[in-house]
Amino acid sequence: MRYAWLAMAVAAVALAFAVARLAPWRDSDVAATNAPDIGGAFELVDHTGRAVTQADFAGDFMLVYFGFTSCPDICPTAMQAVAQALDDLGGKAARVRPVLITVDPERDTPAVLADYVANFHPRLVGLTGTPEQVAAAARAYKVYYAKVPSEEGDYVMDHSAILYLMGPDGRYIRHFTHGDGADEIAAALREAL
Amino acid sequence: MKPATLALAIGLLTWWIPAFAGDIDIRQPWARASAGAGKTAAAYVTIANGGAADALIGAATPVAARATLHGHRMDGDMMRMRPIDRVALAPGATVILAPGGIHIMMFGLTRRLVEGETFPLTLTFENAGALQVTATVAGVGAKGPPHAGH
Repeated sequence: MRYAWLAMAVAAVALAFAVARLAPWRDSDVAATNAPDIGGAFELVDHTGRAVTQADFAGDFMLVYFGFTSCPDICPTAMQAVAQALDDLGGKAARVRPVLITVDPERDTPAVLADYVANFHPRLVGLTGTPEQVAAAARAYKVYYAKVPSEEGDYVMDHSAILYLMGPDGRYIRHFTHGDGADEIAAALREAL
Repeated sequence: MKPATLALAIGLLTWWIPAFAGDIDIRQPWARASAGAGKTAAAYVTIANGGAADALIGAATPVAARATLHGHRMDGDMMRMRPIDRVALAPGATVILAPGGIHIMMFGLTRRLVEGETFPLTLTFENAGALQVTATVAGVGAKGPPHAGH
């Protein structure tokens, strides 16, 4: 019997740890102390060719998505959902900066990004940089990506399909996964703003 | 061969061929407008198979250097896009190619795909052979086919 109680105690502690670990990912208004270590400083170049850092976005909410412009299926779906959510918010959207950080800096130059972001929303900012700068930004956001060669010299990118909502202080608030539509994003923004 | 027999044979053949191809019904072929200077775009169709088992095995279009069938696999939150050899079409099945799922990936666009325009798209089936349809271009982030009537 003593071992049974011990086993239950161990299980209870394990459960508590599991809940503590999962909670920040499920709860949108989690205390900052529990927030996962996502985000932080970056040095990139925006679609107008201007060098930018995290500081340029301070004071605004950010919606951060890592993708690439030669991604015709998943990325436009995400960008469209972001654009729709911002339109749904109306004037309040002025406090939100949607950002697409490319995982394909080789092809996604500022000019290519400028042409791309214009298709979705006037507030959408495209960010690129040197491969090292992009890698550093992806590391900060715990985003993974890899180049996958296809036939005839073409390639596609595997990448984490996550949209992050970051607060005006640059801290992680919550994230959305592929499949969360404009309604979920707009509802979360309303709550956060 | 007697003329009557020949006529019957031709009649049977012309009746049989369209019926065979007609077992595969391709509905609402559409594509997303290409975003910016991008050289890739995705096309989607709904395929209803009214006949025996078949499979979609390829695609081609004059607006792209290559068109391949692509699928997605999610590993956690990692999105992996990969070419697929065939899309099985069981008898009576309707398969929908849609954003976030299987799509026809067009590489090396020869021109920008602009919303509202159309372009020829040829789909190749294991049994039904090559069937050409006209795809309509929808918005850049459209979730479904344009609403234009068919």
